[in-house]
Amino acid sequence: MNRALCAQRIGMLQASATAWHAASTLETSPEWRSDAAERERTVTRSIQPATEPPETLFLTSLTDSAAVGKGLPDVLTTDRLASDTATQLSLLSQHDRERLASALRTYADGREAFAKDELTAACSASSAAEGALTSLKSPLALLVREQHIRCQCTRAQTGCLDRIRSLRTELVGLRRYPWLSARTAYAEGQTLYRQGRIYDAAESFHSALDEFAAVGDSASVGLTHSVLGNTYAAAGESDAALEHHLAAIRLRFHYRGDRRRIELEDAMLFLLRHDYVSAAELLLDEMASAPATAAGRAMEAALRGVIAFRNGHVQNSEHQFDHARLLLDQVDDRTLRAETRRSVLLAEAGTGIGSSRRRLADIEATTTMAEREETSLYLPRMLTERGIAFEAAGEPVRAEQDYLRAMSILESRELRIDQSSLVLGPSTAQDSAFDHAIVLYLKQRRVADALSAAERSLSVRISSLYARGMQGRDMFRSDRGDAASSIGDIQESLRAGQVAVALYLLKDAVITWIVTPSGVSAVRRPIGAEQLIDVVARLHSCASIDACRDDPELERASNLLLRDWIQQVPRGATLWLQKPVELQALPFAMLTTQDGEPLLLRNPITTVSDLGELIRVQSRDAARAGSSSALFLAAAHPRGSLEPLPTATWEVTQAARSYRGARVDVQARRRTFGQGALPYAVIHFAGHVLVNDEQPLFSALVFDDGLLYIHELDPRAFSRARLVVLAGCDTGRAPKPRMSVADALLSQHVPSVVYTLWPVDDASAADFAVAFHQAISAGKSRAESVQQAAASIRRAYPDRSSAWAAFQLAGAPGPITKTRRRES
Amino acid sequence: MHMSPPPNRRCVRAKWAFAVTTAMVVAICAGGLGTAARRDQLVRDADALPCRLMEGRLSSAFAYRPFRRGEDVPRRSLFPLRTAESVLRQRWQVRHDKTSGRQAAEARLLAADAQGAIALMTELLERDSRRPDLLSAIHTSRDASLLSDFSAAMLQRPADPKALVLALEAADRAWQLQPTSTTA
Repeated sequence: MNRALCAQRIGMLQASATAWHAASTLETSPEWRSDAAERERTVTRSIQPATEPPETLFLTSLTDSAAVGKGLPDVLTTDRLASDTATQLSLLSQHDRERLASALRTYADGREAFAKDELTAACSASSAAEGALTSLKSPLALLVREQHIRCQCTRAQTGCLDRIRSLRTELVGLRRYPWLSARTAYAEGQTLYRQGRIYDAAESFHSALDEFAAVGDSASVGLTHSVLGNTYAAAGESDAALEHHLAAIRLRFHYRGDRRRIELEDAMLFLLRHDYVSAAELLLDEMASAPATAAGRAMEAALRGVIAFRNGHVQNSEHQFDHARLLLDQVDDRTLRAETRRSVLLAEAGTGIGSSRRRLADIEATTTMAEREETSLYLPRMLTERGIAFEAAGEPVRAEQDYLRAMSILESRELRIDQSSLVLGPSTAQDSAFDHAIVLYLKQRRVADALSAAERSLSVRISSLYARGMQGRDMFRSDRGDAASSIGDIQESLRAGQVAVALYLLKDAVITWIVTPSGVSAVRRPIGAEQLIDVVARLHSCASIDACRDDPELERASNLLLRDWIQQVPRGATLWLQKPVELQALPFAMLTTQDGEPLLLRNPITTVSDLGELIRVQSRDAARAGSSSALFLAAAHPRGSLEPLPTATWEVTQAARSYRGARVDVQARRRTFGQGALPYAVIHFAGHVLVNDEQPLFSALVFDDGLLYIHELDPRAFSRARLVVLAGCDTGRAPKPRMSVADALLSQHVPSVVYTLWPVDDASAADFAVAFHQAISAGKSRAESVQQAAASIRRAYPDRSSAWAAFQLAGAPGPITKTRRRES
Repeated sequence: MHMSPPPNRRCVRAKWAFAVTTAMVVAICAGGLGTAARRDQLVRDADALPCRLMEGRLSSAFAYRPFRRGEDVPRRSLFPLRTAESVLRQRWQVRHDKTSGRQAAEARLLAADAQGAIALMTELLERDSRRPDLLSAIHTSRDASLLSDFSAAMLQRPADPKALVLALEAADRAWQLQPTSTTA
């Protein structure tokens, strides 16, 4: 019963009706049975009347009216296209009316061809219709012109984006045809999406959605929801993508060709990508009930193959893919056949079924086609697949070329790697081009090249599309203007007594590079990524509640992540540590050497998001050197239900004594952390921090006069800051990769931030702060100061890892002041 | 010399947990309640209502009642359910075992606290399947009735697309485990 209800609410009416039927058959209680039977009847009734979209109705009545010259009411709210056409029709001679009817039929044929992806026929029909309708001065010429441009854009003709924008401007100016105007917004979005300009595409699609809704064209609203689902998915915004895909499933219309199936396919790929296998499988029933061409049936068979594979039925899966290939032969249009073949191939490649020989031949053909057609959203995945096939065929040079090209495309688009493959293949088992390049380079013993590929992968990061949605600023997006740093640059930037260590997680191994001024070496430790993430999650969990004293997870994590390479690092050397985003929660300082010594006591540590940041933060820090003025803020009396923090007052008062002339504000207000912070090099915040897991831009620092959200941070306020200490709970916890409160400040070019890995108690936070600032003012480096302060807490409370392992430094590790004497 | 600040905590969560634990222990010591009987009473109280407040169906043997939205039901009629929920919650906080967790979650749901029920069932699912994330916990759990109840609870969040899909995954898994169950 619950299954039926879920399917019904999602809009999977076929599956829901079947489930209600099963429930009513199995139920023994007469009342529950009668309820289920009634619901089955209701759902079955709502399956039947799928409505014709307004466009179809409009065209049919227009063609009929044109033949006889009769009037035509406007079917869409505020849009005058129908009535204007009718008015103009009444002025035409019988001969011209026949010409107009003929042009409309040509246009309708073109639409049909376009819906079937038969682009050559579609473009030529719309071109002919546009010419005829323009000569008749019919307002319908605008509709046909829009269709013609859309057709050209789909074929990736140059300049079509300008043409569609120019038409949109014209239509907006006319103010009579908002429906057509909405169509141009949709077409603009499609074109931008194909060009990989995901964020611009999302904005155009949102305009189209609003405009279609305003004129009452629900069918187009459904289509737009579907493409918005794909767009958000490509941007890594999974929740928004799901919302739009479900909205598209619910709106049921008789679209032309395979349009409904394509909507369902997109939703299904999304669900599969996110492991919602049951939901995807039930959606197949919905798909089977939609009208289909041969291409649609081939795709359905391929998806059945994918789902069978995901459910562990390999034989059935192979059978479905064979069936899909047979159905491909029934597709008449060559272009469409090739495109469907590509999709089937991608789906099959995701399962790993099929011989590498056959795959290489198929992939060569489909990649070439993808390159030619500029449907480049698919291209990175195709190139990666071809690279894998080249490697399997013993052609590493060609494989490398393909991986590098795929990497460049992904970098230029700012797509999130794992999400970009969402639209390209349904398997979660796929690696990125970066991963394959790393493995290839390591096989060839090109250690520095492998590290370089890993670094490039890290720079392709998630962007917060929702920042735009809420008209807010994306504080996690730092400028990408900095040129990528070579490994040689990084080596040159390492100062005496510094070593850089980069960790990178592959599907089946963790790679660690050790970079010193004189060389680069790498260690590969085989381990499943999920397994390692699990170990780290458990270690984080026990460390944060003081339960790790003899924990086997600490031993396992130390073995996996430290002991293979730590002997290459001199004792006392400062470690620049780059942790993979999946392991951000790892309390690295807790890991122990073979002799059981915690890393905390052996080496000072600072973390960076990528090794290139090592150069950037040092240069920013050097540019701001000279001042050690300090600002200490305690928000001890927050509003609302949060506890007061009297210790925070004690903390800032004590810690500020380490700096001459430090400003102390024990009733800190939001503004003080904004413009008030501008003159200071060292800024310390003691107070509550609220991390928003769903929307990290709404994480907030709590001040006495309210919350200061991350998106409200003023980047100018930190233009002189060299060090910000965030002594609150969870300030380094990133609910989405690299979206912690500390990350927000680092993205605003603060050279170094001290943050916490989990909630900290007041007493140890205060102890840490006092010891840390004393060390800083004594001329110790920032990394040594964190080490020294944490070690002092460890001496006092050796079993309380939650206290001593919570604090970490990110960014520039060097000293703020030269000597204590100078400060005093 | 090491100076210790006053012992209050920066983390609200920890302080809150302490307060709840104290309150709970006091309540249990004072009560000595017959919780098994309370649970049966919960079913009787739910059956005594003229309607059910959740559209999904729980796996326990509740009698059929037509569905009505919560806002249409007088608050006082929920009082017996809330009382039973309070007792079962305390029992769960003391015992922290699966049975008491299931009963407490069910009671929360019947007492119109869907959010609390979802949180508790999520914990039970993740603990039961030893999986750190909810979706894989659903896919590996073998407890059909817990999955089914979880699905019913998630259906109480109709505006949340993710909740809807998770509800479907849980209901489908429950149905695969027990294809003859009408609840799933």
